[in-house]
Amino acid sequence: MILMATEDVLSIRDWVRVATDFISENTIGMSRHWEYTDSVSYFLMEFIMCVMVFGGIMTTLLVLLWMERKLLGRFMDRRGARTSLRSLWVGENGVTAGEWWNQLPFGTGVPVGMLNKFLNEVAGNDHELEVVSRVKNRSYHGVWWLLPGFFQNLADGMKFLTKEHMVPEKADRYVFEIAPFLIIATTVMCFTFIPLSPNFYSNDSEMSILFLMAVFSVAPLGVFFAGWSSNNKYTLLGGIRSAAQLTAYEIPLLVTVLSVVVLSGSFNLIEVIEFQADSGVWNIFLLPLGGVLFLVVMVAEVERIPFDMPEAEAELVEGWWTEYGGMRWGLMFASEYLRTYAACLLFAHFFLGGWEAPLEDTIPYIHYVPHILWVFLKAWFMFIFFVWFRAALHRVRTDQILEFGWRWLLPLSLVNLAMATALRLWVYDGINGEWPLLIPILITSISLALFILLSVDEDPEALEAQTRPFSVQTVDVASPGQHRE
Amino acid sequence: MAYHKHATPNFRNLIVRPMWITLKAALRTIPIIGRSKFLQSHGTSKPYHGQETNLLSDAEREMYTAQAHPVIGQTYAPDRETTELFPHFERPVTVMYPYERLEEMEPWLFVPGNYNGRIGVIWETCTACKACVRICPNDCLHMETETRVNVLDMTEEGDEHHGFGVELEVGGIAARRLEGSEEAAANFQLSTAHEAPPEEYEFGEVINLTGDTISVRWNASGTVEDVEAGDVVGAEVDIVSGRIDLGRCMFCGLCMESCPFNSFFMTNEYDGMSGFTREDLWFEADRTRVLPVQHAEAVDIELAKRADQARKKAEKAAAKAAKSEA
Amino acid sequence: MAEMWISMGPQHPMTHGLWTLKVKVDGETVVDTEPDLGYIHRGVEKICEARDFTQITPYADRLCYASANTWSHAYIYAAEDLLEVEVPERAEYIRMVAVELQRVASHLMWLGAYCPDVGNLTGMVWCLREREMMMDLLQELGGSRMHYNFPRIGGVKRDLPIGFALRCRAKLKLFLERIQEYEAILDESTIFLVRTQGVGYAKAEEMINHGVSGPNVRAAGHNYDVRWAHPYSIYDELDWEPSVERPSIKGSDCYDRYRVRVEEMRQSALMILDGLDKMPGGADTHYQSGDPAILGKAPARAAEGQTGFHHFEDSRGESMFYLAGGGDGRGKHPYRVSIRSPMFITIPYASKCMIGYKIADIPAIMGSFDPCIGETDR
Repeated sequence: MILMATEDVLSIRDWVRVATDFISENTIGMSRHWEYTDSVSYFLMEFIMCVMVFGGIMTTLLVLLWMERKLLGRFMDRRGARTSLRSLWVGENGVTAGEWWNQLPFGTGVPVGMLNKFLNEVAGNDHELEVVSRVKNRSYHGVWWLLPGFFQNLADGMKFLTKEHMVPEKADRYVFEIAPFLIIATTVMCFTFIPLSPNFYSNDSEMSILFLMAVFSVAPLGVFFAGWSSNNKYTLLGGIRSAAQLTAYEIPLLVTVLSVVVLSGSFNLIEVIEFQADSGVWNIFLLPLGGVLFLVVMVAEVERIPFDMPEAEAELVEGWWTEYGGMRWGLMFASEYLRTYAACLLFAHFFLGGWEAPLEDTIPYIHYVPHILWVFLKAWFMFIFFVWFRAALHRVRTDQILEFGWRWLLPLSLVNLAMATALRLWVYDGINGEWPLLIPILITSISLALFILLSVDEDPEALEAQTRPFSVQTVDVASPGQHRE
Repeated sequence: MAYHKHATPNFRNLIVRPMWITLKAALRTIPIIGRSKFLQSHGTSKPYHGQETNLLSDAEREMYTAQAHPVIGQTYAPDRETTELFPHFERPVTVMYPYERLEEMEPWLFVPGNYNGRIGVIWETCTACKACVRICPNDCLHMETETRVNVLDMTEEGDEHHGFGVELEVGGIAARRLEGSEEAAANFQLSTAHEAPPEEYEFGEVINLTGDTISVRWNASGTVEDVEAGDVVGAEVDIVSGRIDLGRCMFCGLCMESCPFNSFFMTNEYDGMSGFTREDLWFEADRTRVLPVQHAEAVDIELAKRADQARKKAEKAAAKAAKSEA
Repeated sequence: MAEMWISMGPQHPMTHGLWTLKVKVDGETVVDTEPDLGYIHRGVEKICEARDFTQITPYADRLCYASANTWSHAYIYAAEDLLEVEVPERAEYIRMVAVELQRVASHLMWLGAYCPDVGNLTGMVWCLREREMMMDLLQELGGSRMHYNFPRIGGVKRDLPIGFALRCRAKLKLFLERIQEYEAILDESTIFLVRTQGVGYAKAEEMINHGVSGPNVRAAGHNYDVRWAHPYSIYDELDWEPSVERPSIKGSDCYDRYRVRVEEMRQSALMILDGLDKMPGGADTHYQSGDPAILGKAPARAAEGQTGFHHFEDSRGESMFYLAGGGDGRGKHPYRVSIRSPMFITIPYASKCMIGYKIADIPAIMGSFDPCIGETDR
């Protein structure tokens, strides 16, 4: 059972249990199969919790997509028109589709019109002032301006529903149809195992991490099916690259997850989080190398830049999902983001303490923030790193990706496992003990020092000795025949 | 092999440098923090965005001040702008076309004569020499006929160039200026009006010239009216009208340069040239017309030239007549 | 896995134009390539046989649409050779400004397309942002953003607009600062270096034997820049140097070709600033169109037997125009216009450069040679 070390205001599981008990008693309990009341109630509760967890994650997926769009815009030094005060107004002299405030009944919109006029005078432009005269007497966008762009992605999803689904004539039809199901089904199954708060989870099994990793790793198979069955050389290449890449990164992933499990002492994800709560230190301060490894490996597992060779648009157009149309493609595209979201949530649970508030004992009133919000905030914070990698880094070539995975990440993850084992066996004292404060501080500062040392490993003198950028090799004028030696 | 002073494949360049550069770019887009010295171009302390640059020369500044153009006083930066009210809020350079137009913001890009826009012809001064038709690489221009008033007929009484135009004759065409046409012509904005310029004259057939008044049957209404002699001028069916196929035009400007009569211009109009069929892109004379009031200088030059020619011809004829008499 | 032919077909996001590159791959390794050109062959050489010499200039613009000014100027120099025309010095300076601005814009377009080829989308947006500054300058000077029809036989269409010198200097100075930043995201990025160094080796001797010219051959260490070796116009009066890289024993790789173009952008910007200072009459005076200071007299006909030839440093290599007079209209039209496109010569060579590398290197290598199919197919 669960160690309830933390209280939760939203005890959703309890409420659902109460509701299903009520339903069950009043239906099954009144019938002749009354001895199944409890099990039916439990089944209903688990079912509803599954759906709620999945629903919660799917709706907050829109946040993720919105974040990516806006952050990429900022990194690329472009901002939308909506971020400027000037773009609040549209139309010249009110020439829009009809000023909406004048269409409201009983003259209720007149003050809005007056406000608009005032704002045009103040923050619009008047060329007698030293401003650029761009806006003159415009009308306001209206309430649509308030929507921040979340619903764009919903609209995109709906668009996919309207597109045609085609199966290429020579494609292997059954495999072609199965592949998206494999991918999306296993991705969705992952979310069953991810708890969102001490009382809002759908699964609390002893082996949840093991099952989670197993299910997460079925997706490469689906990708390979998709690439192979499309009867297309490009998708074949993409599928093969993807299979190789994802397989290569499974092992560092599993070893890193294993190190967290070893440190926390249990395969149960909820107990990992409880361990971090009880022992007083988030795992990232104990295993910073593990955190970085997990992040990098997950970026490769979800096939984002810099590891997005399988769907590299420069060479393979869209890679292994080229031949898919309509919602099948939409689901696979969604599965990429769902897997990214799962990766962020797992990072938050493994390394950042899950639903624990930071510095719980020192900051007053912080325990009023619901736990589920902490989980999401941490996951979204990790997603910023995913987007940042995408904006800043180039695509790594497939053989370089594989080399990186096998030659660098695998040994590092073994080192990480060794460190985790050492910490657990020799430093941690007993169940429910606390880490001595020295240990995480020591580990974190050593890691930071190593990072800084590695980052400034240039030898300035050697670089100065290089010749100036544009060096003219010969000062003789080249003439025909001169190059023949 | 590597000549950039930091170009070595090491750990720093793997993560730290590219991520720091993109983070800097992202932070620069934030209103107030983005202006801190820490985030500006490396090597300089000037702001990366919104460097105040003076982009108007003295001559331009005088010209735009005289026109009270909004670009005066603008703090220009090649990619970011601010307002006086919110100096720390940079606006993206999105031009909210069609509500804002680039020629208002960066007028030097659309100086008349400098931009290869759609053609505009002052048909009143055209002589149908077909130099433009010959020079067009793509055969876009064709000549048509049109009833119009010639430039020599557009002068007022008392003008030095008056009196060299077409004589009214019975069976010929008379033209009278429409009410309010001058005002409409002055207010006509070629770049924003996606329609033909306003008609300036109404035409009619001359029926009777005897006496003080002239009887004219107007084409539009069919009624006969007696008008004063000074109210109407002569007009003719001119073959000097043209039509351009904008579907073929490549906006090279050769036609503008080939016109010897200061009549052919490339306007700054870049929109309004759309249609649903190819035939919609055949712009007749009324759509390619530049109103004389808008290129008054060119019209005056041509008018003076032709009036001079007509005067010299008349003097020569008079001298010849005097000689033959003598 | 067996060897198979993949067609990086006419429609492909990478190919920088409309051509097919058939690639024979053994697993991920490229074993053989076969380029297929001609999809946008428009018959420009034949069309020009029915046009006056002045009318050919807009067609020359459209040969390579990314680098229009360099091509129309290449033609104009050949036409002036044919018709034996004197060009006033101020016009030469103005032409230099137009050509070098176009070169900067063309290289920025190349870099803006090269970044997503190696995976970085941010670099594309940044390069295009800088290119907008150049496009604005070119719009002021030439009248439109892409096809200007700027030079005339004997001079230029019109003089530098009022205020152009001021804006040009301001924008170019800003550009010289900004260029450091996207060098930073490329040169100082291990992944970019790992993707481009050691990839696509091309030796100087092979390239010269094949006829490759321009930044590609300068990256291999051979200092051949037509403006430096056979100076035309006023390039020998300006203070500049061609940018040549010193490659390794194995030849020049993609990184060298990238560096050469970045340094060329710098040199062109400095050239323009120098030229504005040295312009006869000053950069702020404005002569009317057709003034003898900017347009010399030119005959309109070329008799049979007259020929004109000029080779020119285009953004992508050495382009040549050969004109033979005596065509229709008693010599108003040329009898033959022959165009040598550097990319037509380079693309087959570049395709062979890819053998032995991985599929993922194809866009990196092809992009580093900067193909423009408009001039290839003519």
